[in-house]
Amino acid sequence: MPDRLEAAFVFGSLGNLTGALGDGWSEEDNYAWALGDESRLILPLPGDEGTYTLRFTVHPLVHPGVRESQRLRIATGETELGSFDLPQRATIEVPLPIGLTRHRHRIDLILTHPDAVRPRDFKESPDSRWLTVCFHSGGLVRTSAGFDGETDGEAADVLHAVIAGHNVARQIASVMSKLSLLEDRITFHYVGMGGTVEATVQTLPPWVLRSAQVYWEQSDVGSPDVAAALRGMLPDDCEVRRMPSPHMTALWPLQGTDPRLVREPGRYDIGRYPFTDRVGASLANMMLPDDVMILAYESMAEKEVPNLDAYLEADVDAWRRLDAANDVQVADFIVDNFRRQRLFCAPPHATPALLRHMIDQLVATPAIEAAADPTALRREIDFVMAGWVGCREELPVHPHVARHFDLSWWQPDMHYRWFGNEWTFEQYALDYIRWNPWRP
Amino acid sequence: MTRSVLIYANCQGEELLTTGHYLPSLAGRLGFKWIPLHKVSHEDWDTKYGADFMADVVTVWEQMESGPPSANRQELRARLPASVQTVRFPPFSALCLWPFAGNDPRLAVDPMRYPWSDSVAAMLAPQDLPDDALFSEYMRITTERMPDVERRLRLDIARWQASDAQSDIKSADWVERNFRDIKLFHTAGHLTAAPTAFVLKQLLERTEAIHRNDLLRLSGEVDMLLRHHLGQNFESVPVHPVVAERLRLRFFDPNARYRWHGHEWTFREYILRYARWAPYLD
Repeated sequence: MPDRLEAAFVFGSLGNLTGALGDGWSEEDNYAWALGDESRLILPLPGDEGTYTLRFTVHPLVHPGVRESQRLRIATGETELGSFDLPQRATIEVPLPIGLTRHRHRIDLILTHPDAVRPRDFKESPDSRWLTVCFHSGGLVRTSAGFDGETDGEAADVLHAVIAGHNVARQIASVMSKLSLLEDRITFHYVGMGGTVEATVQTLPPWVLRSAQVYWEQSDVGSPDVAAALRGMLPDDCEVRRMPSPHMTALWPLQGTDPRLVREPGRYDIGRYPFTDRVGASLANMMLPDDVMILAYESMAEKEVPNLDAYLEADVDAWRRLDAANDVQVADFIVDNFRRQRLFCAPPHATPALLRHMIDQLVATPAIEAAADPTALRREIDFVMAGWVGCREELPVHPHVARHFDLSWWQPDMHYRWFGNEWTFEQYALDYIRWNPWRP
Repeated sequence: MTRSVLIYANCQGEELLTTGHYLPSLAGRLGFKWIPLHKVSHEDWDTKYGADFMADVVTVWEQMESGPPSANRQELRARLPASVQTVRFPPFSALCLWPFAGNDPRLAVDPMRYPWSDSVAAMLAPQDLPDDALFSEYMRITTERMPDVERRLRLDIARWQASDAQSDIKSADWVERNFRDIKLFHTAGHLTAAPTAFVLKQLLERTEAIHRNDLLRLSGEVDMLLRHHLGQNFESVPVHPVVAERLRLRFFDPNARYRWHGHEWTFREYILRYARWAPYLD
């Protein structure tokens, strides 16, 4: 069980300690200087039987040749709690003996600081205060030795879960590794499957794969040899789940060839606009003003758009094939929801909404459910994913396509993220047609 | 050998570097290098920034700091060949927009999770309050304790003017004229694209290694690269609505969503996440 912050102390007139400062302080907005030889500080305690440590972030007033460090002694009554020599900003810890905190609601601290200096004595400053140590913030930390909260008995052994694949696996691994309900129970390891068998296996300590209790594999990624090698190292009782790499083409039916798409090493390694648009490409040499160019593009695109229902049918067939080959099922979910929820932001990129659906199935396994209450776990997954936008490569959807499928999440003026940029469909279309450079 | 512009600056220099790198007219003709002044160590001068690194530098874009030159700045100047042109420019910063950026004891043990501190949210952190009560308490305390942000703005302006006084390029008037209408800052020191475009065009204009006939085209290319760009928005700290009201920020949208790594949150969502020190995704 980690240490827990029981109280946060913020010095300065905007903080919460003004009433706790006794003699020997000078407050400013965001900090307080300990003045002269001695300062008094009264801090609240919870009055229970916990074990506590005080933590202060401070910086000393030092100046080369004048004062190289500041000494600070912290005591209560006759009992010294800590003594420090501070040459620079530091966070100091002061463990409190249990006899001073048990069933008590305050502690009176005496701070002794014998090295006061006046700024005006060594630099151009009107400041004549005798300054020593500047206090920024502090905390009363309940330490693990005395914390008897939620655990009952010994900590459970930590299991290892390996998530292998590419983008989908990496994103799911990043979600799982943030879950506090699992952090002391299961350690998640992401393995990219793009390299050779040797390189892939070496990204993990060998004992992780040999002892993994959970293995989630993104199918159709990398070489089959890599997948086979990873699986071959797993123990017999490891829970294995396969998940798909779903694509969607029906929302972007104008992809085709564009001779301008070439690698531009050092700038656009996979090409400037990797998702091509054959109508945009056909207009590349036209010298038209923006509004005319967009009209030309839209009228051509409406004529060029293929049979969208046939495209969707092909997508559905592909998703059903994925379902047949994987444990995680996506076809029905996508068919039922893609009109009211954005499930893909570009042909190969699932959005968090689709990833959430996949995670829901992945965590429904005995090893995960034994580690955390499933309802609480799903609630925490929702919390961690709230506001997450996922991949920032969003390919704009053509208005004709959006209207055909009656996409309720789509709006004509919506902005699409593209690495560090945001643009509308029209702005993207113009930049694409002109093959304008963009910066990440 | 391709000639280079050396940018000596804080993280705002990285924006100049990246934008410069993508300028089509300079590709293969003029490169860009960056020494992050906030990270450079004494050893770096011999290992990373030695004679080979400096050999092709024809111009330095030097971001100024207040006070006497630091040891690193002196080291930089000592290592530059005499023929190198230097153009000095100011840093951009705004402290007045986030008046509760103070102290948070959690940063001492976990300094990177939410590095833009909020002292009031920190004070509320240990209290076990439901979302509505926590946010309500945050708004009550911050509204009661809201400092004089106009005064803080005047202090910011004084700092901008002091930086201008050391620089060839001036930004104080431009920032003061625009910061209410256009969002210029994601955090106290991280910029949207507008200030980068403003300063980059002037740097290019003053760089002797660039042919005068290229300047108009380069200015257009800067606009093209940055017109849809969001700048350094990987950590965008929401502005408190009372700050927006008191500073009369016309760009302010109370329902705006702010990017925080892989997420986009409202002001309320950000404050709750911050207070709870919640994990987030990239």
